[in-house]
Amino acid sequence: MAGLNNADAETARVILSDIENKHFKHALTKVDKKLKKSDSDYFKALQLLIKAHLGQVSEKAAILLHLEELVLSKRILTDLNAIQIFDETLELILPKPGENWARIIGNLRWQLVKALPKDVDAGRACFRACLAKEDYEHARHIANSLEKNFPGTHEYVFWNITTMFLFSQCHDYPDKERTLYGALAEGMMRKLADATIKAADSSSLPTRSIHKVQEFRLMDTILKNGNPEKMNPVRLKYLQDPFLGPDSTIAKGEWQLWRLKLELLKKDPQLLFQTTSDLLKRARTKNENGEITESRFSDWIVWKSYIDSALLNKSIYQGEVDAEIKAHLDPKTGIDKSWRRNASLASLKFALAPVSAFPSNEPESKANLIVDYLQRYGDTNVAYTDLRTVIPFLTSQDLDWLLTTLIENSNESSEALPSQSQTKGTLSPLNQDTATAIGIARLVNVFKLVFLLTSSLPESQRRLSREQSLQGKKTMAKCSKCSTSLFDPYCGLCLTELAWTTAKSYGLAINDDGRITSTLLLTDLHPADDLGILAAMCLVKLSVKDTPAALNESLDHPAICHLLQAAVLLEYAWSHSKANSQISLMLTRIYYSLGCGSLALRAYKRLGVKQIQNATLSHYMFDGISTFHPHPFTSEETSESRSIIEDLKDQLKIYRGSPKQISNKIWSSFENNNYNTIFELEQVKKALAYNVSAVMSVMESRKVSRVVQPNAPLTASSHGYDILREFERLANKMAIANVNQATDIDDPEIKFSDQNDHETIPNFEVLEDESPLAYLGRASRLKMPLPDRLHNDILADKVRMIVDPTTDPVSRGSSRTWLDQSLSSIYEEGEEFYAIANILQGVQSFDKILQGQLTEKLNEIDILGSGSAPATRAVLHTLYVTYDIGTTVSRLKAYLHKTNSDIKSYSSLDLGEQLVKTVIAKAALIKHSLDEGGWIDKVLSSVFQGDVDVVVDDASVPGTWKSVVDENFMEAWAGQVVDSWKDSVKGFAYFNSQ
Amino acid sequence: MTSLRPFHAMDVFKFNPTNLDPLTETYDLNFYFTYLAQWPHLFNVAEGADGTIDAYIMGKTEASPSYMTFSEHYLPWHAHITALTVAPHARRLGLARTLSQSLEHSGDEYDAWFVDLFVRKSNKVAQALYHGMGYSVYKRVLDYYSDDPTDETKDGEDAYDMRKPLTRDKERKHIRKNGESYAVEPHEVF
Ligand SMILES: CC(C)(COP(=O)(O)OP(=O)(O)OC[C@H]1O[C@@H](n2cnc3c(N)ncnc32)[C@H](O)[C@@H]1OP(=O)(O)O)[C@@H](O)C(=O)NCCC(=O)NCCS
Repeated sequence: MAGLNNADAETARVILSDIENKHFKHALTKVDKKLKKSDSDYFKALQLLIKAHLGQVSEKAAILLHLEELVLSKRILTDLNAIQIFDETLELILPKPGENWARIIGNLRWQLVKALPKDVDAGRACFRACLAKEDYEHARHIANSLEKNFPGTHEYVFWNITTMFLFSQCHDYPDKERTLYGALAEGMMRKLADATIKAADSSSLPTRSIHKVQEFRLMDTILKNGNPEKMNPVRLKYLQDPFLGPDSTIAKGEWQLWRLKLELLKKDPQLLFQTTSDLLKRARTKNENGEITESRFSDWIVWKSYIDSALLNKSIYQGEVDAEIKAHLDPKTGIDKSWRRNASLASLKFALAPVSAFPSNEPESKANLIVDYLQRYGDTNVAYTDLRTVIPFLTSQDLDWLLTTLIENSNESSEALPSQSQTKGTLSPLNQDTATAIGIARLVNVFKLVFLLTSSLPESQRRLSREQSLQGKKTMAKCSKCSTSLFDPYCGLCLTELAWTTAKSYGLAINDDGRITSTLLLTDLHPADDLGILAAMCLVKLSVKDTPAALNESLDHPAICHLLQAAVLLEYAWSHSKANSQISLMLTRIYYSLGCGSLALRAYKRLGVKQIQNATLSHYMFDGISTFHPHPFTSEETSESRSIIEDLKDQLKIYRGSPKQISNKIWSSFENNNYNTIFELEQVKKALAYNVSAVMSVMESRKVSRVVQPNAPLTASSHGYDILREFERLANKMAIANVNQATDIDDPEIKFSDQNDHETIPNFEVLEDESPLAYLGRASRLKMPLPDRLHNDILADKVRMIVDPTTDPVSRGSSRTWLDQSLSSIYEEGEEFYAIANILQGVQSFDKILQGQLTEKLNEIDILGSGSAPATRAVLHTLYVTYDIGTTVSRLKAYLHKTNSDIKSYSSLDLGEQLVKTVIAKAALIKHSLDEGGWIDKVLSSVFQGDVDVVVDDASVPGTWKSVVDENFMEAWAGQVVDSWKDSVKGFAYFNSQ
Repeated sequence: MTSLRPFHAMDVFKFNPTNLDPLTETYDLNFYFTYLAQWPHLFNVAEGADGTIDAYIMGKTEASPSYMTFSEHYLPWHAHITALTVAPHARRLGLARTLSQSLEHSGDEYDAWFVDLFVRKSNKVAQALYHGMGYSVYKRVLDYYSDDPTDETKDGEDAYDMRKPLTRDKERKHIRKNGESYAVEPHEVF
């Protein structure tokens, strides 16, 4: 409390302690008494703060008015403590003060700095406060004042530039001003860079020049934001400069500068070749102590730029490139293996990349290049990932060669057992080396490549050629391995065979009497894991082929049977390698599709998801949970049950806590002069503010609540809806953009931020294709990917708020206002809630549309519950969604009745009750069927009898299973699956026809 | 392929390949962003073929506060490896060594005396890595960790404080022999 005399400071302390202890009335009496004696901004501010704590809604408006008058009065407050208390007060009455903050507090702060320009502490504190509230207008004024008033302080120059740039990037300010300050930032930066060049000596740089690499990076970020045609040459000029560029003293070896430079040099391939050629030489040059100190120049981006530029003129550069590669690969050069691998990959890329006007190699030699690479790196996990980038360069002839060679080689292991039924072109696990970690690692790569060549690659090529052949004549393609004519994009026969061959190899590797297993720590992964994962992946891919039709199928339908097989294989793999997160992720998704909620959760919990991972991984388990498992899960260990709402609430913590944390770190970046971090953190802030996973958690939580506590009223802000305010604004903005069919929307904020992790789940397809697991997720969950569902979710929520009898008048009113304002800009024709919303708004024509939709729903559930289908995800989803629509329509009917609307003219409304009744009847059927015995046997029979025709090394599928998964394990697992199905249908108890 | 780049704040949404591993802790955002705000040049990623995060290293440069100048536990200006992790699929390719070398390089640029780090006593793989690079144990910190991921029955584990001298320490005065037997309590560690 600087600035107060001792007595006042003591009084203030007592009052603040009253406030802290929530003794507001006492505090108010003391303040009033104090103010009677003497006038003081600080105590007036305290008075207002206490009133804000005590205040009702009407009083809050008066407080806001009072604060506004402070600004309008133009009286300048020079007591920073008082302003800080006003700041606190505003936050109390308006938790998200938005632009009010800038208008009131931002303004007061800037006026104070203007009045006390030499008070550096006040200047910094006010600058920090404005940044935290994204009030870049006042922050910019303050930074400018700091720079002018402390001309010897180097950092204020950059604070000012950074703030101008932040201002120019913020869409809330007028375009003209944004452009002006963007240009000003750029101009100032260039002057500073020129000053560094002019000084030509890093030890005596003037204050107004670039001193540090982070300042240089700030400049590059600003220039990069401008017109590339104009700015890229400028950026390159500075990057080429010996006093600023990557080799300068100020760069301190910062690698990022090289990355920027190489990127810009792409425009001049000759110079790029020369530059990278020099770097690669430096990368292998030893210093006087015989050490390589610049090995980092062997980075893949150097090699890639080198090869790409050489390929433009291959005949000229061939010799030089070959020599460079050879030098890097020569063990005598002493390059570390991590860098040497780049040279190998570069050699492959250089040899295989198609170049016109250069003779193409024979298929044999191309295949051999791949095989050579495998020989060198086949014992690493990444060999497959590396090769996946070059294999698409090969022709189908090359690929045929490669496939044959791979299969032949894999069966020639020295430690292999004597050949039994080895036919050419067939993988034979018994003839492979599954005894050593290295042998297994090599096999994993071979199997993945065979998968790529037989199932994934022709698939992508055939999809492409199908599109191309739509106009021309089409000939039936044949499988590259077995020559069968193909109706599907890949050969189901070969994929089935590969699945079981891989499973068999996995069994041989994993059931090793402890040879490898016993050497592993709890935190180690088993080298054979990827064999199990690949086998499961083939099975999932086979299942996905049939999934949409499998809604009501029995357990031996291939779609379900393949998923069950994949699940038990992975569960067995997990029992041997508990730290493998890919297995757990796959299991989560597979159990989810099978309708085994408790097992999906078990697998998900094994991942140990925490902190920010909740924003990227929770979708695997919680997207669509309200129409899957809305009832509490029971913990295996404690037998306690935990509501889904609690889980979802935990996930929202990250969105609540992070904005403040990030603001603090933005300030810290200013203090530490790391300007680029500021822009990165701004990006994270936005990514969290508009995060689809946050909407998912809120929406799912509200939906779950409607199922499990149908009479508990929801408000316009419960279940975390308050953090979605920004979303609604954005959803509306997007919908309006849709309606106006604006093609190029200039506002980058007009996008939801989808940070869900779809990459970590295994994927062995060609690079541009998604994993079958992603498809599985979509097919069995909800039709649209998450971001596209948001409008409809928000709309459905508003509709429910209006028709639910328990909604309070304020929340109903705000939902009604939202609908009045937004419905015309939303276009979701196919959705039931869109029709319902239109009926709510009195658009009669939607009665017929809704009637059609509800009849369709009735037909859809009619096929359920025939007794042979378990409660798969698709079944559960259909039931819950239909129930939700049914109850909403019934409530709509009651609501319209109560509001004296002419409900007789809406015949669709009568179908609500019928839908609910049908759902209840079907749910009872399914539950009843599950209560009957025999399900464990059905599961086992499905797992054993699927694909019985396949033969691997003379053994059929049942025989293969016996060699892979222990029988007791299999039986215990089948019991868990059935228990999980039984648990899943417990949620049906919430269905109610009232 | 091996390619290094600075860690970008948005990478927190992409680091599951490394962070789903049980030996890699996922901290709250504040932790990562503190490092990005203060030492962005010591926070680097090794990127895989399609931009996957194969590995990252997080480091800092610091010295003990001046009030500790005369304490026997005073640490002069040095670089510290706070986290180093390689995704299981990218192990044994030399990425950890490469990333640690990049930190040593920066340590030299910023005139640090040595690089140090803490490693679990049970983490033999990491110890092999550091020994191979010229690090040695400086001291053992008793029960530094509150659990032992390799043994569920234990609720604590010792840490080794390992060091490697940098160019500045020409006389090698910041390392010691038989550091394993020099045990200290966690509160004695800065
Ligand atoms: C420890 C860890 C970082 C090593 O990463 P890595 O990239 O696989 O290690 P590198 O390939 O760079 O190995 C370098 C050297 O370390 C040693 N090493 C690495 N892994 C080893 C293993 N599994 N067994 C024995 N030595 C091993 C070897 O000496 C190796 O050199 P070499 O391959 O030329 O023989 C990695 O296993 C990991 O992320 N573990 C979990 C997190 C962790 O423990 N971090 C360390 C915290 S201090």
